[in-house]
Amino acid sequence: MTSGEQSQGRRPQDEILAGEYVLGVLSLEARHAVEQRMASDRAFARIVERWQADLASLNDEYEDVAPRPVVFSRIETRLFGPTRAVAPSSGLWNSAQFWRWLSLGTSAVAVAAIVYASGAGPKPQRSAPLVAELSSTNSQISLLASYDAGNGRLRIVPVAAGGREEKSLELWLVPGSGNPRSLGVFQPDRAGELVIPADLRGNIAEGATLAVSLEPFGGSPTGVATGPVVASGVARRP
Amino acid sequence: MQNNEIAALINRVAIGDRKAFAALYNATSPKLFSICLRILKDRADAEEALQEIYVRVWQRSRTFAVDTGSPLAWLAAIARNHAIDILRARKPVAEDLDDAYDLADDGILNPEQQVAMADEGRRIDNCMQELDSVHAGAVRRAYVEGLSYLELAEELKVPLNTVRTWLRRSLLKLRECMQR
Repeated sequence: MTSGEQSQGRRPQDEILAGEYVLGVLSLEARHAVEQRMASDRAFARIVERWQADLASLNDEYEDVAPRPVVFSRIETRLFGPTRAVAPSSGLWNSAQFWRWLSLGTSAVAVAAIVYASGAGPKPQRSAPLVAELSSTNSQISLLASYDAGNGRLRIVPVAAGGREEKSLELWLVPGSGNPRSLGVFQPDRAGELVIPADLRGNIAEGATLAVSLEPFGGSPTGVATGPVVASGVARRP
Repeated sequence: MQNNEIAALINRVAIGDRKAFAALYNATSPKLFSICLRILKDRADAEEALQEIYVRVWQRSRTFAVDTGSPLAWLAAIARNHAIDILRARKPVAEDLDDAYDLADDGILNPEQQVAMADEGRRIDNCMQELDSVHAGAVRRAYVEGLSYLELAEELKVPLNTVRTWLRRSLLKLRECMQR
């Protein structure tokens, strides 16, 4: 049997190679070759994932051993810098309501916040607008939001928009507790600017969480998000 | 902690929730640390590896999809892959790139075809019992300790080619059994 790349006969070889990779018996070079192929060959990646799932019950052999507590603080330092321990935040993400409606979205909408690094130092200038890039891994929509505290204008620029006819995007402020508050509605295919209600302006600050949901044309009929959350992000001083 | 709770934590980590990250770490690090220890056999190395593993968990949490399997299996794979990479880098194994796989096609289904029967599919444990016990032991040790073919051959005191044939045939038998 040849090792023809695309031939029908490659399946047993692929099964074996994928199995060997998951077992861990391959050399480093061969492991890297397998990983490269997984990145470009979806069918092969599925074979590897299937072995991973099938052999996972062998993980029962690993009996829990607690690592020293210092390990976690080192991880946090690597990820978040040396400043402080676990987020002393006011619980921005603890709103049960938010998580309930977030889960309405498809699991494909893993939401990511790509945040602009602060170059402004600990006491940011008041004049610098807040900027948040809102994106999602399915990359249908990506938005840039900038907020000028001086005049309460929040500007939305779609970076890339998919074809979403007859739909509106609704921007939400996600508070530490209580329901998300609607900041306004805009169309997916063009840049827009929203004037934030004065009573909400105080809530838009560094660390504030903004999220965008896909709603029927004109916005949510109920006042709470009804569609999937397509993007969310945390505002930072650029 | 239940699988769905762990999956929920991973999804929260994906949007940058540090508290969820801490909770995920507390729930899963004893398992992942055990993996590192078993494969690397050195506490300091295992701690070092664990740090890198959770950095990757943070970074890759966006790629976790509930439908690709159990969250613990996903985490364990990240841990095993990293620990094995370290082990192989530390102690390279020569590999003759490939000697023919002279194994018959047993009519293996592709993963899509198998999805339908996944629920009633046998667990790997049952299929392991159908293997020759020495071969099953080799499969188990390769997986759990991250041994290379050469190390397995030394441990089991059989020629390299023999152990390779054992494992490859075992993999095909397991695949055949899992989809039976």
